[in-house]
Amino acid sequence: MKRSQIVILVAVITAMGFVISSISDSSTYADFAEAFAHTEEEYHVVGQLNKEEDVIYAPEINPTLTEFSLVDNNGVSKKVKLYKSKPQDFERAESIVLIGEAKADGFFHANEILMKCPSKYNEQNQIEA
Amino acid sequence: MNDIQYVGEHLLPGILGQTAIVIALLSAFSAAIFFYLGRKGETAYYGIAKTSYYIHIASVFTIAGTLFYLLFSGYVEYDYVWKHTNKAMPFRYLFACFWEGQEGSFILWMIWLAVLGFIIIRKKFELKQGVMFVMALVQFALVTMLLGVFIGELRIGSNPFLLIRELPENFNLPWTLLPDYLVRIPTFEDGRGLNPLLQNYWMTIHPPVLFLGFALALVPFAFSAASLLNKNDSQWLKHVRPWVFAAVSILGLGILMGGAWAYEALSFGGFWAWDPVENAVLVPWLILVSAAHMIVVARRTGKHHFSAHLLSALGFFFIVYSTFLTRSGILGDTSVHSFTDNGMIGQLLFYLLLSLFCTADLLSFRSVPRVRWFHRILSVVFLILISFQTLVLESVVFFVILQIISFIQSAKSKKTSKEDSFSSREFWMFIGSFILVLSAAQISFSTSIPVVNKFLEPFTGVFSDLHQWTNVEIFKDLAKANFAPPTDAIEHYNKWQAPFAILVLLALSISQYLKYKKSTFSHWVKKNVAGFSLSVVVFLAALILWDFDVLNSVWLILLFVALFTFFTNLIHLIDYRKQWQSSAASSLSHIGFALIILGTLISGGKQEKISANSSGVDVRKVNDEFKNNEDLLLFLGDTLYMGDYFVLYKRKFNEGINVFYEIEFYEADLKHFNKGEKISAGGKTYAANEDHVAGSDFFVDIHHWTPIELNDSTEIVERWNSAVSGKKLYSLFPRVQKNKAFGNVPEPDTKHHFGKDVFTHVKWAELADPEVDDEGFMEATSKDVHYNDTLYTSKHIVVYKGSKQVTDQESLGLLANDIVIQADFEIYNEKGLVDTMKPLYIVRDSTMFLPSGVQSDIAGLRLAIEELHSDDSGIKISVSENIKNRREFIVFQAIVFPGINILWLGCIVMTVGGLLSAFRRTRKGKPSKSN
Repeated sequence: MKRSQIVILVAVITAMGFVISSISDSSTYADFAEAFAHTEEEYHVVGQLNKEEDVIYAPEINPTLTEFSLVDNNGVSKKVKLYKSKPQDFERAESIVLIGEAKADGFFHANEILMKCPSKYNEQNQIEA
Repeated sequence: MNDIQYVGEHLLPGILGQTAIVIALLSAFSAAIFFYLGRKGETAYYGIAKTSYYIHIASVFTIAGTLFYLLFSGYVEYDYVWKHTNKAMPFRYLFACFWEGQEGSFILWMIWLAVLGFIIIRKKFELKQGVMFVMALVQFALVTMLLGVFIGELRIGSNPFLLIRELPENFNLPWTLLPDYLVRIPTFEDGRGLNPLLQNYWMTIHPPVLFLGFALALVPFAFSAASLLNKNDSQWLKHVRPWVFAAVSILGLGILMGGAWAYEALSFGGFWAWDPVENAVLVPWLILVSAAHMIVVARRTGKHHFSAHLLSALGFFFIVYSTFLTRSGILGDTSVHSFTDNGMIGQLLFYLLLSLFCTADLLSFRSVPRVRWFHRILSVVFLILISFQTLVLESVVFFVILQIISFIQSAKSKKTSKEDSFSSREFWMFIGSFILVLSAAQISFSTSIPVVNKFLEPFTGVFSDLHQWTNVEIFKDLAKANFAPPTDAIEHYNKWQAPFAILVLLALSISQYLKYKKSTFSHWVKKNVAGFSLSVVVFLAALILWDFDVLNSVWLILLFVALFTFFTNLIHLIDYRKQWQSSAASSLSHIGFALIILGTLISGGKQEKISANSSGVDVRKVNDEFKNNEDLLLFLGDTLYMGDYFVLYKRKFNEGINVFYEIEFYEADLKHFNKGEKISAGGKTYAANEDHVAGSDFFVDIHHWTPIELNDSTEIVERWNSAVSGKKLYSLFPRVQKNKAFGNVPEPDTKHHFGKDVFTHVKWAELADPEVDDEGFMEATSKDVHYNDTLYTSKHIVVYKGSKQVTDQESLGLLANDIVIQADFEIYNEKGLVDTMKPLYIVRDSTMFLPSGVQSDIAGLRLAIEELHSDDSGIKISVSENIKNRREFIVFQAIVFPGINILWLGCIVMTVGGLLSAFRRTRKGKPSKSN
């Protein structure tokens, strides 16, 4: 076997390795219906803060627990336990991505949160005459 | 059509800027054409090509100058000015305003390209016109990013000189027809200003360095393309080396500065998080590093030409790809950075595919012409399909596959050359470069998951059919085409990148004492003994110094290999100090790289969230979830033991838009316990068995203690605590930036020691005091209570002792037929009963409820009954506390990064090494004879 062939073989095997690993490490985007159909499985859920419900953050009791409700993109609202301190400007986020799993207790348990703030980079000119 | 005379607009600079854009576009095009005609060295069109390019340079500077003038003058009728600056903007941030926006950053990129083009034009070498052709072509493409015109639905570029009333989304809105809109509409009084998060010196220096790196990354590709245009794959090697090394050092510096910025000013607690934005630039850097090494090999040995060309081209391609990833909005939800969908995804995609096609076509110069033309025609057909937005995704997929086939075809048709010997330097350089490319591919693939989803979309039908036939789970996932990026990104990337780093470092250490072509084994062994022994010694010392339990085998191997690389290269540097001009560059860069890895290993692997395991938590309030808590709750004026320190939350103060939180750090002196001393821990009482110094927590120390029963139950025993607060060390001031337009942002503060950094940031804090009524009571909260339930307030415990109907209501001044329920509450503090409170629930005439809450001045509490539950199961009460009861607190995080200075030192050393490579070779023009 020529060395160049070995190199190509190694490259192909490694590439297959990281494609597989990347897919197996990745979770999937889902809505609440899917996440709650498969409890204890990790999903990314995209949605908005349900402003009708309270955001509960009591740092005196637990500084790394925030409870709130999220409405997913299908309009389903679920209660969420986020194991983080309440993010700055949480209420203003226009869209929220939660990473975590649904559990039998009816809560979505999230360990990570990503937020999109409307104004940070692309605020449209709001002009009223 | 539009002959309204607007009041107060400054139209002249805009017209100047627009004109400059058009001239820049035309001159770049003309320069490209005439340089192309002279690509083989003909001089007939050189004059006109050069003049065109000079006109182009002048126009680019005019564009930049005009935009800067607009920002400087604060003409807010211009959209770019309104969005990026305001009247209060200090001059020193104007540059940051300039390149904050997309258009400004493209202009910055163009300026650097123009400067580089100017330098290249002033040099004398045969490939010059071919190189300049590529430069001018790319400049042309970049200028189109500023055009701001529409062809059908497709948006070509975004123009920084548009007035707000000229924006497409404002077209013909009523206010745009008011001649005096600038005066009448308050919005136009001032611009929005620069995001305060970006108002720092990093924003002034980081983008220019990064974009110089971007611009430099084009040059090796331009040389390679120019050479291939002449169907010659070695012509370019003579002059490209300084450029590729300059690109590597500057781009590397730009990336590392980004990391330093993130570490200093942002709150994600580290300098590298494998975020898509960081990855997008790291990938072209890795590829350029391998390109640089293959260029050196090709020059020295006359082999590996194909790799050198391919990697130079891919380096530039991935720069375009990173622009595509970060500017097209395709990354969407996957990054902590926000991305804008600028509506230019079509144009960006087109350029991306075009650059891929050009690379593939250039490299196939040895293929049979018929094959070449087949590839060209098919590619163009797909490009046209994509441009007309028909079957876009399918076309893109087939287009990419076509290019890959072309690459493979070209690789097969290259000249076959003798294989490298194992004992040659070039073999190990090739292996190192190869690993770097694999590493880049892994990063790129995982970062591109949103793109992969897009690619999978056309095939969802196929995959769901496959799933039905085969019942293999993976096809079902593929059919869904909605993969999310790895949840634990750091773990995912480290898992792959750590082994890659080990192999690259091995290649760096092995090859340093090897010669090109062939080396003798005994010489190599002799030269490496010292380095190897030193690494073993330091490695063992490091192991003894640090605890073992957190280490894993990959970490250990990486640590050893990094040390080995560091020492071999250091010894090499000393060995060849007489010829430092030729040898220092590579040794220094490799030393720098090894230091970066060492710094990352130590600061990352040994980092410690000292805010995590702190004592002093109120036991009553501990629940299960509290254990994996990494943040510390600190009351104003409280001192807590944290890591090796005592911390005190001293005060909060406002300065401008920032709220600062002063946290004082004190030395922690470990406590001495004497034999027989009594303490309490976990609800039990213990006595010391012997004199000893406290350990890190009680369970480590438990063998020093024996549980005892106290004879006298009133005896007060102190809680076990391992340390006492010593002398004050320093204060840190993490802050929260209150930012109306952009949201509130925490910014960290870091104490830099020689051997470690102490990093703090506020996770949560009340920015303003809560609202209170006239008597100082805060807003009430409602709670349901049952018999003997306990409520915790800031200072007290409230116990519900039940309720009963009152029969002697007349003695309370109430009417005889009133129905009155009285609830009993007992208020305790840590010393005992403080007060009792008896709120009433009064119903008059079966319909009217009388409010009758009670207030305890001793406890600073108000209680009122809101509802009686019909099934007798309890009551709903409202509780309100006096502001005096409340103690302000912050939730914050503190991380110790040991050895992070090794990382910064590595960054500097590596950059210096790279620049030395670039400049040495420029000066001499040809390689030196050493190593």
